[in-house]
Amino acid sequence: MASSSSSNPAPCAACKFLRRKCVPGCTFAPYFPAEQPTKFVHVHKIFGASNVGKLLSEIPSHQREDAVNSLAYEAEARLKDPVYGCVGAISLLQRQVFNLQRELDATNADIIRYAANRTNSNNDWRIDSDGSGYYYDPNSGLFLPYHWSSGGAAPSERDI
Amino acid sequence: MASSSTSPCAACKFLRRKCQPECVFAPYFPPDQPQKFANVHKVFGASNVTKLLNELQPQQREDAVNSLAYEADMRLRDPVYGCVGVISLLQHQLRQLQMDLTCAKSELSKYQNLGGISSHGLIAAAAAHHQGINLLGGGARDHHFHHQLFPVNHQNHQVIRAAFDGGNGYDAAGSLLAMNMSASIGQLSGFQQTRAAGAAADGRRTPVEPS
Repeated sequence: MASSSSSNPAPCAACKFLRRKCVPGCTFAPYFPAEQPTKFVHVHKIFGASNVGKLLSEIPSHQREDAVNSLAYEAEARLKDPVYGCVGAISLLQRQVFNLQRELDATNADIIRYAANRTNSNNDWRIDSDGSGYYYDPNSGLFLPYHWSSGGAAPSERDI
Repeated sequence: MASSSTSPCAACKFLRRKCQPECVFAPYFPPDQPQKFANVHKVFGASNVTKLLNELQPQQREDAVNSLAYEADMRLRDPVYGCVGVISLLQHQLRQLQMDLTCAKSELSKYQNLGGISSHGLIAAAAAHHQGINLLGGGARDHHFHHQLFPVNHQNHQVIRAAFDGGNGYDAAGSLLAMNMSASIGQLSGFQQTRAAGAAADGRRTPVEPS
């Protein structure tokens, strides 16, 4: 096969798999070292060597390592889950972010209510559980919607 | 002579071949969504997609094609990171939210138990982190954090709502919405942590442990 001369470096994982000569300027060699054969096998299986080559040629050289590693990640994910690949993880994360945001909003709303009610020692105004604010109008003896007043900012912004 | 009343599917139109009745692409690449197949072909290649579909049950193929279309779309928008950029962003958001929630709950418990502690600074901090989910935000142009990948908890099938705009002439977001998803991303062997294009937001580097 190849000569045993020390001037011939070992082929990269891509050229070894593709059974071709690994030339000095090989596009794949920096990112698919010979000691990680499965990385190229998986990327080739999902994306194809020529697609990967075209993709890399359109990316600046300093970003190619990241690109190859993200392709390898996606390829692994697709092999583990042929139906959804890494999109399954995206969906799960979206759901988790959505739920956490909702929980944070609810907790903050509780904090605002506690803080607001603590400064409302004279019971001049109140905030209901739906977030609506009311102020006490001594003339009528009623709690009126806050935006009817000429005060401007809502209690949560003014008093906290 | 067979009638030519059925228009070829987007795949056969793109590949300039006759669309046979048993065409494997036809159910998933309708002629009114040409960009969908063009993207998938560019990233994965028609033969790879065919092999992938042939290894799946027929009832799984629509979801598979839609997830491939989404991945292809993301890769074309962000050639360096593709979907992995989206995952990193979401993990970052999740970490921030978890920290904010921990602080908020701690503050709330003080109100409930002790009282008298102002929390305006906390609420301002939490509001600053309140950001919408923008899966198309920035791509390769806007990575201001490390791409840290760590295991995600396994979860059963759920219908997930995706808050992004698919664009490109077909509704990738809508297709994603319709999918019942199970997520099983775990630790990946041999994957090296990717480097962000910009500065890290939190400065931590969490290595991905090989499986």
